[in-house]
Amino acid sequence: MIELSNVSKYFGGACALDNISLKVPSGQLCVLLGSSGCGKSTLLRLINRMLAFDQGEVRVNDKNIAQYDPIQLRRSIGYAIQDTGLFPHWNVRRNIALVPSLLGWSPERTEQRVSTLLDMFGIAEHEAKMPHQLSGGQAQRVGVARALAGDPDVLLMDEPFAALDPITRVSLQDELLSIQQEIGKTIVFVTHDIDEALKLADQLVIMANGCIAQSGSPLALLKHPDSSFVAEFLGGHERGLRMAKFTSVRDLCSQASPKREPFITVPPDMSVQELLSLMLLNGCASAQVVGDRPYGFIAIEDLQHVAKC
Amino acid sequence: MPVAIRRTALVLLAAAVLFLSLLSWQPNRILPGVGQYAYQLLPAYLLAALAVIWLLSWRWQTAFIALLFAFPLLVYVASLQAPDNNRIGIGGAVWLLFALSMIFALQLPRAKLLVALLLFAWVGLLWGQPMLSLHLEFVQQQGAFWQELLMHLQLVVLSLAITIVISALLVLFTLNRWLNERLVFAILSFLQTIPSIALFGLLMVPLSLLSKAAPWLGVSGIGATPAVIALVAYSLLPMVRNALVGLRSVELAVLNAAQGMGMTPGQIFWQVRMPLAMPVIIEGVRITTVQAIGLVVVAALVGAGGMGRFVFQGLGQSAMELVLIGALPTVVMAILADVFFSWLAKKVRNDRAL
Ligand SMILES: Nc1ncnc2c1ncn2[C@@H]1O[C@H](COP(=O)(O)OP(=O)(O)OP(=O)(O)O)[C@@H](O)[C@H]1O
Ligand SMILES: [Mg+2]
Repeated sequence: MIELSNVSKYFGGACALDNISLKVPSGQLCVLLGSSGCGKSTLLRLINRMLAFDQGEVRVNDKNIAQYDPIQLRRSIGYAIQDTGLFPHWNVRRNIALVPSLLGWSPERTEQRVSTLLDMFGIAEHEAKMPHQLSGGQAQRVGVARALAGDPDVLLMDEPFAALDPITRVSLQDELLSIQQEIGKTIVFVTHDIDEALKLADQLVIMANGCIAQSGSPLALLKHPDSSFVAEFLGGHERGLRMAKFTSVRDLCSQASPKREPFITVPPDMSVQELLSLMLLNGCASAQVVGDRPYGFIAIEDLQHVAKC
Repeated sequence: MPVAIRRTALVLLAAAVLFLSLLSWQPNRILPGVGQYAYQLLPAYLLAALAVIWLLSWRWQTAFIALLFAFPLLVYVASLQAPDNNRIGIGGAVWLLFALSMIFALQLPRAKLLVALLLFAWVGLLWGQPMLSLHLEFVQQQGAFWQELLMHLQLVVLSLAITIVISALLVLFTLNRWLNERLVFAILSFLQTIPSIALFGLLMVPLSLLSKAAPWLGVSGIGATPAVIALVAYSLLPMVRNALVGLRSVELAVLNAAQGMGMTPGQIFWQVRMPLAMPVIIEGVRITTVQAIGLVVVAALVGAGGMGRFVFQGLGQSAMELVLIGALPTVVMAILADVFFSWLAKKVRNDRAL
């Protein structure tokens, strides 16, 4: 668990973080979203004491971080960054083995852990390569695997998937989600990609100018933005489509059979956005929702309730 | 090999044969030698054969390589015609042939092997003709030669070691901002601009005062002490600059990651920064060493010994052979140091890229 209470950080006279309070419960993935320079990386680097802060208190696993030795604290927290920061003079395996060896694990245990991670991220065939021989996506996988190597409870990730093509990026996001399902770490994830944030977050924190503009679940923020800033940030008029993306047809369908034919058949966990797209493509206004059992029907008029369900 | 180089070489070779003496006959060490030209010493059919090979080699590389090896052999054949008890001086044509064959060899495939073999052939010529004045001079100086060679190397190694220690401290202080970087570079660059002879001379005065005031220090105004001090003064700039550039060029992301993973500052320095900076640092050592090998020659002026002793003695006596006995080994040492450290830097780089 990570808990920040009334934390402020100044660079010289400039306020980088202003009275931030934030709680990330164990096993949750918290995404910090905000435009460039709003203090996301700064916040992250406070947590593992790479930066000192001026006011407030940060607690990791119910212990004030001031009571940890900074080196020990960092070894117990995974850290992955945008440019991967892989050591160019070490091969993939040695890069991943860094934290275990810093922690003084036995060679056998380290080997085993590294092999597990190599398999988990599908990069076992690259284990002997040097970082400059990897593609961007492979390097990012190694970076994240390295962050997980010491089996930390807490993971800090600073735009780990930036600078990747959209397809690789999405597949890495999917991988992270499935791995997170398995390992359930407490993660703080920084990005300025809205779709990435909405997709990954259990808890979404929108930052602006060193303050938290709003935090909550992605759907809650989409549906009930506190301010016009948050509403704009989440897409302005396109916010509706994002909402549709995070609502599944299951939640909107009803038993009443449609007045209009023809209709298409869709699975219950399809997103409303996808359904809308299919309707546009097929020129139809209603669909039958069928999964392991028939769920019902959904018509184009039903979509207007997306914000309410 | 580019055609332009071949054409130039052709002109130079023709000039060498026609206008530069190949060897000279010198009745004794004092009398000036009488120049002998290639067309006087070598039969016409041999020169014609050479020309044919040369033309053939336009197409046929093996012929060309054979030609390069034929040069020292021809000089040897020519030298056999020297009158008895005459010293044989080496003429401009031989130097030109030597230089050209080295330049050509460097352009050919397997250049290193070829250059080594060619050097071997030329040294063989020197060895095989005891009347060559260079050979005679060397035999005469042999006892002193090895001693001075050792002294030369000792001066280089000692100043290199001191330079590395001082540079390490300077780099450490500059990186930690205990020293102002611009000030450090201003001083080191200033030292670099003092002409070497002036620096050796300037050091003599304070050092002899110091040796009088504190004889137990074991320093003196002449000899190795001023030489080493001056060498170190010249070596610091390239060494410190390369070390700083190397250490600074390590990517910020890498240092950030290292810190974020929980490496201690010591671990970051020794396991990340140093290994990554190593090729550039070795490059600094290379520049420094090559420079020092050359500068030690000048240090002979303040009585430090080394190859410079022969150079200055030879200049004083107008004995070019003696100058060469000092100069040639210096060049060879510098080239060897250059090759060795280049190889080392490349190896360190490749180990990383593997
Ligand atoms: N070491 C530093 N010294 C002075 N100012 C800094 C320092 N690091 C960050 N800042 C300032 O603090 C503010 C927040 O920076 P931060 O790196 O946290 O932004 P960010 O949200 O991560 O931005 P980005 O999305 O571009 O990475 C910026 O205005 C930046 O200029
Ligand atoms: Mg940032």
